[in-house]
Amino acid sequence: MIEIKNISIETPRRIKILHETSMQLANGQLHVVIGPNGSGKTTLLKTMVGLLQPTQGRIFCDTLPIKSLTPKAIASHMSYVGSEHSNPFSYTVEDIILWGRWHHHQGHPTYKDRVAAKNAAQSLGIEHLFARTFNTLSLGEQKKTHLAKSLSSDVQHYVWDEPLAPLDIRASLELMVLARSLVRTGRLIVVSLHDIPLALRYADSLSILENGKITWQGIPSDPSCLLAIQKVFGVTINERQGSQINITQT
Amino acid sequence: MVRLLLKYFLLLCILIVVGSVIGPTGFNVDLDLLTTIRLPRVTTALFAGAATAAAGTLSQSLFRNSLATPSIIGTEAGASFSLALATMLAAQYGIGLEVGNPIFYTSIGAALATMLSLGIMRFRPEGLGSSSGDSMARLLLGGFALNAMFAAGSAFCLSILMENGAGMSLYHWLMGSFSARTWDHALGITGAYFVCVALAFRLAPTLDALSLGDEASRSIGIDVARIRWQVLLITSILIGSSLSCGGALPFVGLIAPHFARLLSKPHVKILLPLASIIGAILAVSADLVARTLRAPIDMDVGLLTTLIGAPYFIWLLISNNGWAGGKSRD
Repeated sequence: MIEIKNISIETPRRIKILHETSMQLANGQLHVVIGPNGSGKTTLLKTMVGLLQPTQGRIFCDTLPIKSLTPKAIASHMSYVGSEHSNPFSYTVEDIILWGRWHHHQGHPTYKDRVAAKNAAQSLGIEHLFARTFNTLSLGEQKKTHLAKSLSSDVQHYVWDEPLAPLDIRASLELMVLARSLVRTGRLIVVSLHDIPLALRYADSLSILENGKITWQGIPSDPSCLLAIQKVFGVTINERQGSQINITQT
Repeated sequence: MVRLLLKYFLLLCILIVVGSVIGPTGFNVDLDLLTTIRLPRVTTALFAGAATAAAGTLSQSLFRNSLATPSIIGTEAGASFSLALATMLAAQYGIGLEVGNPIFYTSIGAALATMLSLGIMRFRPEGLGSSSGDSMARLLLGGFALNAMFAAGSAFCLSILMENGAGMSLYHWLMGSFSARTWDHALGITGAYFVCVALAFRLAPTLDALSLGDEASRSIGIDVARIRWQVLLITSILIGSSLSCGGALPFVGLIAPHFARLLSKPHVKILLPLASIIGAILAVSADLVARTLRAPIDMDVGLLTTLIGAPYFIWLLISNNGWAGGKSRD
């Protein structure tokens, strides 16, 4: 469970990025955060995993206050994948996936760690890239490597910032299916997405961010959900025959 | 990898033998001369080169940038300035310690300069959001400014000393020279090298993982701030001790780690010994050339390494191997 209590974040120049945001996310669900560009999604997710310190408010992971945990303790509860994956040196995909299990091996991977890395690579379909140099890969392959790194960590909570951004449509669908299967084992996955039809289709719960505030939170089948999306993004959503969704400019 | 290390180690051994038997008057095997003059000199050059190269490897990892070596980011210039200032203050005003143990000043100078450089590179006005992008420009411009500043400071101290006719030893020291080294120098740098590299070896896997970037390495469970301090300390002592016994060796810290990265896997536990051996080869051979080319005059070894190193650095920039650490090097 991840619980955010009344957090605000300001830049040193006092620009508010998040305003008194609260949310409580139980395990066993896929929670999707959507919102227009610059609404504070990345900041919210980084704060959730302790990478940013909120100016105000507190975050708990399984009732443990994030602020008092060491990086290692946080890593054994939550795995985070950000949006940038540049690596200056020529490490292999295997090196990078193994680093996801740092809290298990502290840089000295055992056979068990290598098996977990292999399995994670397999579940994302990149086992053939194992020996490749990471910085020669395409952006999509780099993203998959980092998602595999996250999966190999074997923790209860996963926070992924726009994991679908560089992925092709099939890889996107496969990742959402993979996320759903993880959720069924009792894990909590929090992702930010820009693809609203996919979000509506796969999310267990949804929150909508607007100017640093959560303006709507609930389940995607709630009738007020589409209205909230239309209002926040300024678009028109025509829902036709069940799952078919058509979004147009207002 | 082991074969690669052995190959370069063998080359180094040959150089040590050649360096020991060649003197200003050609071949010359006098046991007394060998043990009191040449061996300490060769040993000092060897470990000064190795220490500079190891420090270069560590700071590349610390800054996540293959150009971020001690001579580029201002670490060496800061260490030099720190000793120049201490020498000047001691000679002129009798403030502080005599330059009995310069390693103290050089290490502090190296640490302060590296911190300044890190600060410049990482400072972001907004404090949030991700860096990258312009970090390369920041690193090079910041390093340029720091180098210029420290060089001017050193020159200022030197000019004051020169007015009183006391600056020649500092001048040769600033230019880098292994002449008149004793076993004290040799054993000091050897000890410092092995202690620092042993500590660095323990951090090697963490340094590898730091390549992920601050946020990603923190989120896998690394206390980035703590590691950064430890590496900063080790790098500063390495640079401080190599400078205090042989003067500045600019470009050894750049070329040796670069060369090592071209030859081997990027893992620090392999790079550290490989870069050290290459650094030692460079320093020992530069010293050999420095004392034989215009014998019996000793040239400044730092000048020689710069003469070789600067064109190599320009070649690195042009061939695009330096920028962003070589995108497709395998």
